Amino acid sequence: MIQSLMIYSLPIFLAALGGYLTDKAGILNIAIEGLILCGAFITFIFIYFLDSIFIAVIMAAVLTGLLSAGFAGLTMRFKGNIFITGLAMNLLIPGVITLISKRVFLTGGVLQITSTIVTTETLVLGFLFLSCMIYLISIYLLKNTQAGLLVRATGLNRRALEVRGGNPSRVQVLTFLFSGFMCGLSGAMLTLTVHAYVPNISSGKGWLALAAIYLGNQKATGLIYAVLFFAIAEVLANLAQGTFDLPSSLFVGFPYLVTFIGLIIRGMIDRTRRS
Amino acid sequence: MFFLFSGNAERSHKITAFRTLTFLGLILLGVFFSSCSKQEEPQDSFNIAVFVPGVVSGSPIYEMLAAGAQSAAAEYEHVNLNIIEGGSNQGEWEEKISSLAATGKQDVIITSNPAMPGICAAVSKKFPSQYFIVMDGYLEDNDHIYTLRYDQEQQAMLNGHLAGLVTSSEMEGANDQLTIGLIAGQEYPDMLDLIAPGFLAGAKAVDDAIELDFRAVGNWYDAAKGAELARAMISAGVDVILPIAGGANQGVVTAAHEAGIYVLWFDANGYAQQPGTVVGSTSIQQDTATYDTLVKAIEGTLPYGEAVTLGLESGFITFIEDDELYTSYVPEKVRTAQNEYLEGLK
Amino acid sequence: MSRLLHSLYLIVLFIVIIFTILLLISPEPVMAFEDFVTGPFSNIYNTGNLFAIAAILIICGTGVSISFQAGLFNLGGEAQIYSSALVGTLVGLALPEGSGFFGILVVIIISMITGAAIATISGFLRYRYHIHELISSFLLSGGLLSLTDFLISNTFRDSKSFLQTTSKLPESFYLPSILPPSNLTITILIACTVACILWFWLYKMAGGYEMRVFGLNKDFAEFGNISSRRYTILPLMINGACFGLAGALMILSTQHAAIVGFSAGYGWNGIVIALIAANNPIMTIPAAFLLAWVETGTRTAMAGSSVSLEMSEVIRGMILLMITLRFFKNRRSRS
Repeated sequence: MIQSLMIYSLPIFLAALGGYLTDKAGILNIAIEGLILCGAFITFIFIYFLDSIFIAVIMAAVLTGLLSAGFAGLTMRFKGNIFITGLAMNLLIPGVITLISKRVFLTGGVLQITSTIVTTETLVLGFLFLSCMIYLISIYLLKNTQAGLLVRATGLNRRALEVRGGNPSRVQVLTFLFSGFMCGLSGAMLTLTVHAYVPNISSGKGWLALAAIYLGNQKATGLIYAVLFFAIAEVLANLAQGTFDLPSSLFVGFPYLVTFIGLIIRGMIDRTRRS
Repeated sequence: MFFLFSGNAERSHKITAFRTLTFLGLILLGVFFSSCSKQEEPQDSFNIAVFVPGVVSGSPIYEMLAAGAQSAAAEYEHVNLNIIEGGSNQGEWEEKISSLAATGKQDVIITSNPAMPGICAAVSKKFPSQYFIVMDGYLEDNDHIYTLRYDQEQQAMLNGHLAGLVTSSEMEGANDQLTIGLIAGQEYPDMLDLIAPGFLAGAKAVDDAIELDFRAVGNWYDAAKGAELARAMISAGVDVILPIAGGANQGVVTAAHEAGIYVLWFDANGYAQQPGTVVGSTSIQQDTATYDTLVKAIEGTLPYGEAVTLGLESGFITFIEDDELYTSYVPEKVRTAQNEYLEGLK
Repeated sequence: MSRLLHSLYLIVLFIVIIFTILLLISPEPVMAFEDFVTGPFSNIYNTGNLFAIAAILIICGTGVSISFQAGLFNLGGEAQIYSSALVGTLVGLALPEGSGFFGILVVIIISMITGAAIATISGFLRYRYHIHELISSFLLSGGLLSLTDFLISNTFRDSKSFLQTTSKLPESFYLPSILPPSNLTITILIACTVACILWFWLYKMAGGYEMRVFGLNKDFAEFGNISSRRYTILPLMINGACFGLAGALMILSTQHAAIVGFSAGYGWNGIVIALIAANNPIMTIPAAFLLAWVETGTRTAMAGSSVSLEMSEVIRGMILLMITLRFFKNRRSRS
C-alpha cells in the first residue's frame, strides 16, 4: 500500500517540484509531460547500451535538463510564446522517440530491459531519498539564498529586475534546466519501475504534476500534500475497481474529480477564514 | 501572464498573425503552379493500402497484418504496398480511410478491426468503386467488402481454462483462493461480450467455483497503472492474470513477476516476455490469413461480399503447447488437462 | 514592407526546415514534401476536409481569444467540446426522427448551453472562491473527459456498433453539404459569422471594451466601475459556448454520433490558434486555416507516400515550435 503510493506519487512529485520552480520564476513549464517521456526513453537507452542504472539515471536527468533549457532558451532568444512551444515539445518528443526507436531498436513499441535491475523496494527507497534531498535543498536555496531571491524576483517583477541590471531570461532558462532535470529523474523512475520503456509511459502524469502545483496553492509544502492527495485518490480508485460492482472505466477520472472537489472545499475554507 | 498581449507585445504578435497570412498565400501559389504539372500513374500496377486503425508497433495483431501484407506484396512485381497508421482516435478513422479511397489509386484497402466493417461500409457509400478487405471483422452482403474473423470467444476460453487449471493447481505461485484476473485496456464490445465471458467460461469448465476479477486500465499504454491494477488484484487474492491492454501488459508482467504469480498471453506467443511468469499463450495466425486473402485479391479470385469465420478447427487459432518455456515451467498434470480441453474444443 | 520581408525569410526557413526533416526521416522526401504541400488540394475530398477542420478550429480559437482578452485561462476546452457534443447528440436522439432544421437548432443550442455551463463553473469558482480558473477548468475537464468516455462506452453505447459510440443521428439532422463527398458543410459559414460577431463585440461595443480593460488591469477596471463578477464569468461562458458549438457542429456535420475521443486535441488547438492570432477573433481565421492545412497536409502525405504517423507528429510539432519564434531582432520593441 505504502509502496504503491510511493510508486505513483514520486514521479509526479519530482516533475511537480521542477514545474514549481519555473512557476516561481514566472513561466510555467507546460512541456513537463513530454520531458518525462524523454527522460524515460534516455534511461532505457543508457541501460541498454551501458548496463548501468546509475549512469542511466544521471544521463536522463542531465540530457532532459539540457533539452528543456534548450527549448526555453530558444523560445526566449527569439521571443516566442512558451505555451505554444511547450505544447510543440509535447507533440515533438513522442514522435522523435518513436522515430529513433524504430531506427535503433526496430520497433516503436515496448522496449524491455532484459538485464537484471534492482528490486522495487530499493528503487522506491532510493528515489524517495533522492526526492527528499532535492526538495529540501532546492526549497532552502529558494527561500534563503541570493540565487533563490533572484528566482522569486523574476517571477514577481521582471521589469524591476531588468531595470536593476539583472537578466530574468537567464534565470528562467536555469529554472527550466532544473525542471527538465527533475522530469528526467521522474521518467527514469517510471522506466525502472516498469522494467521497460513503454510508449506514452508518462500517461498524463506531467499534467497531474502541473495540477499539483496549483492545488498546492503554489506553495512548497502544498506540493507534497497535493501529490499525496492524487496518489491516495488513485490508489483507492485502483482498489475500488475490484471491490465494488461498478464498471471499471468509471474510476479512471476519479482522481481528477476528487481533486476538483478538494479544491472547492479548500476555496470555501479560505473564504470563511477571510471573512 | 504569458498569454496576455499588450503594447509592444501585441504589435509583435500581430506580426505572427501577419506571417500566417503570407504563408497561406504562398502555399496557394505553390499549389496553383504544381497543379499544372500532374503526371499519370502507370496503369498496370496493383496498389494495396493497409490501413492500421492504431499503430503497428506493440500490437501483435497489426504487426501480423503488416507482415502478411508485405510477404504477399513481395511475391508480385507489379504490386505496390502502402501501410498507413490511423492512430488511436476512432473518430478519425472514417475520414482517414475515406481520404485513401478518395485518391482513387488504391485497388484494394485492407484493414483489421471488428469496428472496421461498419466504417468501410460507410466509406463505400461515398466511394462506391472502392474494394475493401477487413480482417478480424464481420459484415455480410456488401459486394465490395470481404471480411474474415477469428472466434475470439473460443480463444478466450482456452486462456480461461488454463487460468482455471493454474489457480486450482499446486503450482508454487498459486494460492488457495479460486480467483482469476483479466486486465483490459478498455471496455469494448468484444471484450465485454466475448472475451471476458469466454475467459470465465473456460475457467468454470475446470471448477465452477472460480471467480473473475475484471479491471480496466482506461487506455492501452499506461504501464504503471497496469502494474498498479495487477498489484491490487494480487492483494485481493488473484494468482493468474490475463492482460489484454497493449503496452500496459508490460506493467502487469513486471508486477506479477515480482509477486511470483502467473500471467497468460493473448493473440501472440508471449512466453519469452518473462519466462516462468508467462505460463500460457494463445495465438492467432493473422499473418497467414492476411497473406492468403491478399494473394486471392491480387489474382482476382477473392469473393467480395463473403464473410468468413475462422475457429479452432481451421488452425488459425491455437494454444501454443510446443514452446519450450511452456513445457519446462508448467507441470505435466496441467499440460495434459489443457491438451484434453483443446482437443475437445476442436 | 520589412514585415513582408521578415515573413518571406521565415517562410523560406520553414520550407527548408520541413524539407530537411523529411529528408532525414522519409525514404521519399520529394514526394512526401509535394504530398504535404499540395495534397490538401489534390482532390475535392481533401480540400473540403481542410475547410471543415478549419471551421471547427476557427470557432475554438475565437472562443479562447475572448477568455484570453479578459485575462482568463480556460484549459478545459477538451471536455467542454466533448461533453457538450455528447449531450447534444443525446438530445438529438431523443427528438422525433424528422425534426430537421428545428432539431439541428435544438442540438446546437443545448450543446452551447452545456459547454457554457461547464466553463461557467470555473468562472464562478474564480470569482467567488478565488480558485484559479486555469486549474479548476483543467481538473474538471480531466474528470469530465473520462466520465464522458464512460457514458459513451457504457450507458449510451450503441450495442449494434463495434465502435465505442452512441447511435447515429437520423439523416434529417445532417447539415447541408457543400463539397460532397467531403465533410464540408455550412459550418465554415457559421464559423466565420461567429468570428465576425465576436470581433465586432470585442472591438466596437462597450461590453467588449470593458472586458478588454478588465483583462489588462483588474484594479483599474474596478476603479472604472467595471463589474469584476461579470467579466470573470461572461468570457468563460462565451468561451464554453463556442466550444459547445464546435462540438455540436462536429457531430452534425462529420461524425453524426458521439464516438469515444472524437474531438481529442481541438481544445488545445483552440488555445494555440488564439495565441497565434494574438487574441483577435478575425485573425483566428487564417491561423485556423494554417493549422488545418498542416493537419490535412500530414494526412495526405501519410496516405500518399511513406510518411508515418510519428513523422507527421514531428512535422506538426516543428511547425508549432517555429510559428511564434522571431528570428530577427525587432528593434522597435526593445525598450
